[in-house]
Amino acid sequence: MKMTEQTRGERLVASVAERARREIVQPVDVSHAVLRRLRQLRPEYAPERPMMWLTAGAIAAAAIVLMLSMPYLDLALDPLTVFLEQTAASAI
Amino acid sequence: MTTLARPIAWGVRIPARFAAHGTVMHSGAVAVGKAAVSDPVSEEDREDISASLRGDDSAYARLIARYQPTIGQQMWKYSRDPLVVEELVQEVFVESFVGLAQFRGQAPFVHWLRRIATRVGYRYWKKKSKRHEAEAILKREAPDIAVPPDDASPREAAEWLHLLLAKLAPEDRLVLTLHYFEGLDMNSIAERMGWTRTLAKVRAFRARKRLRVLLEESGYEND
Repeated sequence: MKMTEQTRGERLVASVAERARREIVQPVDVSHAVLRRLRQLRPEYAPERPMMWLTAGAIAAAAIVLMLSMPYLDLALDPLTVFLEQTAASAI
Repeated sequence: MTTLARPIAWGVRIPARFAAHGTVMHSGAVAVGKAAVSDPVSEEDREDISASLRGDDSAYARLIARYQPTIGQQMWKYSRDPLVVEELVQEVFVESFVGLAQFRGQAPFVHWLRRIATRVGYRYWKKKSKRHEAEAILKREAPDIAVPPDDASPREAAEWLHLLLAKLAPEDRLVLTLHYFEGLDMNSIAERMGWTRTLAKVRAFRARKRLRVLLEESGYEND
């Protein structure tokens, strides 16, 4: 900070500051606290991500099962389908 | 070393300069088997930053352990309360993690941390000064502080300087703290604050004028 002339007070501040810079401060250990805070700060969706994949997989599997079971579902819903098919076949 | 059961994965996009660790450096220099000589970021920092971005919390814990003494030392210039200092140091490392993907690696990692620390400290002053404004209107608080003797300890000197600069507005206090307390010259202040040299000089000039007034009012300019 080179500026014109220093006043008496400024010279005093500079000399005290020179001493102050030699201060040895007490150490801090914030590792645990920082990591804990970071976990709390994590976006809300992050912990749910595996659950989201699981749900998507379950929905896909259910859709496939539904498609494969469609013919059997018709049977289950309408027991007369088999009778009608058999009648139709025997008529031929 | 702290290891969490769940890694701190944020799903951040890892910048290429850290994703391709050890192969392509940010400067474009190619490191074959060893670190490029021109790289301002140390090899261990680069490794830990890269791993932290991938969600390795123990890598970030290593970075904290490496730099918390430096940042702790710096934050003592912003507060003399050990609890506040600890909180501020925490804040610096939380902010640095959140912005880690933006670290460009064009200067040592500690420079980047120091810059964040300055911002955190300044923000603390601003918040504190707003809180105390109302009180200050009611009672003109200007506690007179005796000049520390020549054989005063560095701690006493630091206490005095802290009390003196605390009487200034945060923006003046910041420039003078960087200069007197941290011992930075004009170029370093400009670099730390992301200012031009001219802006740094203008701000320092104004701050110094106010310091002179304060010193005069406190009787330090008299013989």
